[in-house]
Amino acid sequence: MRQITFAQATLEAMAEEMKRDENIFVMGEDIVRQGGIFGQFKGLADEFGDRVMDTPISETAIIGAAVGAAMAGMRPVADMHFADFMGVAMDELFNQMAKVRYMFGGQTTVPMVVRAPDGLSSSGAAQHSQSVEAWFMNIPGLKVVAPSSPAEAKGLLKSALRDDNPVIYFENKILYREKGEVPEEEFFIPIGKANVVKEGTDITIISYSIGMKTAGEVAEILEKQGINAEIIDLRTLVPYDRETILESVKKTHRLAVIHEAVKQGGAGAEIAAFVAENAIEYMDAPIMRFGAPFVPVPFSPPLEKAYRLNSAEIAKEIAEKF
Amino acid sequence: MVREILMPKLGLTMVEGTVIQWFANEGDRINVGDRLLEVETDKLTNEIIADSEGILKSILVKAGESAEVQALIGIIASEGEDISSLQEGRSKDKEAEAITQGTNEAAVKADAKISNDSGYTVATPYAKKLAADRGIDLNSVKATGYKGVILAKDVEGYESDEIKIKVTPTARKMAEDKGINLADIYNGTKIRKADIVAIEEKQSIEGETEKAGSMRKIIAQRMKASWAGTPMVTFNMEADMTELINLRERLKPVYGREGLKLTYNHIIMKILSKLLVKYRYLNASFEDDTIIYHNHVNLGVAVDVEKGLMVPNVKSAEKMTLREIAAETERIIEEARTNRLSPDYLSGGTFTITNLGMFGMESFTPIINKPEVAILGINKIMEKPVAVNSQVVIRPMMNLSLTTDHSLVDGALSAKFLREIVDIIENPYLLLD
Repeated sequence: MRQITFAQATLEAMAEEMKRDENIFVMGEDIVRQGGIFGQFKGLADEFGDRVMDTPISETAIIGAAVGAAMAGMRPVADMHFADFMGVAMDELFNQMAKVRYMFGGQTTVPMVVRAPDGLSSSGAAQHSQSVEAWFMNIPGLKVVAPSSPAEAKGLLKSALRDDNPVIYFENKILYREKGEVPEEEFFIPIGKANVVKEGTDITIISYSIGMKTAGEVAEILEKQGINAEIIDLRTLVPYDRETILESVKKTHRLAVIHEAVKQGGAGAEIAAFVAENAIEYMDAPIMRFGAPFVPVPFSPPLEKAYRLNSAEIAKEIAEKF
Repeated sequence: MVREILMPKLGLTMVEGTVIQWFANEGDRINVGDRLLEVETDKLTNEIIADSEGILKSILVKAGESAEVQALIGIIASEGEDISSLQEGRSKDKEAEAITQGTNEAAVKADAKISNDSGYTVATPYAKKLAADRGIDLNSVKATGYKGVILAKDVEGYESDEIKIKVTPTARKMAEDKGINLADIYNGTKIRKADIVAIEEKQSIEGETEKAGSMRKIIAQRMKASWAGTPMVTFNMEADMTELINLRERLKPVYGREGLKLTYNHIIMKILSKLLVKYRYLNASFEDDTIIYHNHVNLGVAVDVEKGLMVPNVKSAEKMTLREIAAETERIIEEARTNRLSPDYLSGGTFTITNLGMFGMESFTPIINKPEVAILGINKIMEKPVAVNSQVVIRPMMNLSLTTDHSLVDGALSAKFLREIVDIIENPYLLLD
């Protein structure tokens, strides 16, 4: 199968869907002039002209305009440049975008996609490195996805673009350059369905986005110690796939959740609590969470390295519980 | 880590216990679950199992010696660990908990063992679920998990230990045919045909051998001691049961309404509880030239249980009505038979009755349940021709066999006591007296 990058995969998804549905248009900073800071919009304006628009540096304006357009029947895509900047448009995101369909009795839907590049790069420091998905897991009224590979990126973005609800699409900055097999024929990855990437018997490791790389490395280390891990790519954080999680932990009796985001109050906390509530009697070890320490992301390269997930340490902690 | 071995409290009234034997010698390696020693109270023997691993450093109370409950009787410690301070002296109020000394490692290990010391068995939820599903007592499962936690695999392993017997198919078939239990003969090496043949040959000469259980050992010891150390005389006398039968027939439906089944035993116990207050020599003990008169009549009842004989007693029977005696007797018998009886009911008896009437016995010589000084054997009620007012009539007669300790209770007193029992049986209105 052909291999393309994550960034190209998102570009393909956009192009395919924009061709199919002319109500789709994109707004963002430097997406026409520069093709997006990570190249994820490169060439899109050449093909679709003014359906790809550069905006002033105002996330409030971008999201506000997108919500209005969506209510008026368009299917806008809003690029946030960095997920770290979403806070600027927070009222538009959680009080407007997420609420309109509910507050006005379903008179209108808000079919829009917010694209939010997130995660550590190199020395991006505290304001350009964050993973903020957990904030949005606490807001009813929207969906949250976080793809882990080029194929996932394409399949999930196409589903997000066809969804009639607001979807926040977290795309990891490091993953943009990753290459992977992506089918040439059209395909979709459903929102709300997790993916059992590797079947195993001894522990369930759940992750998403770039955390899946760590999950794979941890499983490899554990394999050498005779521990056969099952790996689940959550894909969608809201609504997350409860059924797949429960089925897996009831089989393996152990759970570790890994994410690059801060551990405290993170997505892992939600999943751990859900499993504890519904399957504690099946658990044969403490439920484990692995995430970033509770500090702003450091600029210093050695400190940033220490901040990152460490596969060897995670594997060691897991193995100790056997 | 130092682990103190303390004299356990095996019943509410236990104040002291005797070490029967140590299964390990000083310097032996001890693992969790090993049998450490056997302790005896006046009615029970109990095996003490190690809940900590290490070297049996010191035996402070040797076989045959006694110690107070909670007294230090031995010490388990890690190799090379200093236990001199413990051996020298020890405060009286010490709790049954491990003392950690020295290294951090020891402290961590002590923390790990908290599961055992606090009495709460720490297991993962799934291990608990498995144990419950399979009816396995978690306390008997060896923990291998982090911090000494019992994991699911420990529960699973526990089960497979029991069934994993290596045996050739032929040997298995032969064992099944001959009724040989493979688990009894399995010693870790694969069982082959020759092993079964050897066992069969041995059995054909010796018959089956069986190591006596702890209850049998107690019965044997106590019976031998009583028989060898007591000048016993058995007195026999027949009682005309006509009136007692009438009494029982009249009361039966009354008690029956409460689901209580009145037996002759209950009525005779009522008679004894009244008489023994008067005949205090028969409700006594005699030790070291000292006569101990008991304040209460605690009436023991010999009960035939699965593994032998138990003698639970009805406490303070002298204060009880017939109805109360009947109810309490049935309760302790039922609990003794179902192994639920508190050990306290097995000690402190002052007089025993034993009834073999249901087996058709006409007379026998019961052995005294020391330190008591008398036991009353009850026999079968039989219709017999007896002379009454120069006429031969048929009467329901029952023989009573009273054994007394002649060192304290003289023949005349025994005879008088038995005579009075018979008098009341023949005229139970005297119970109102």
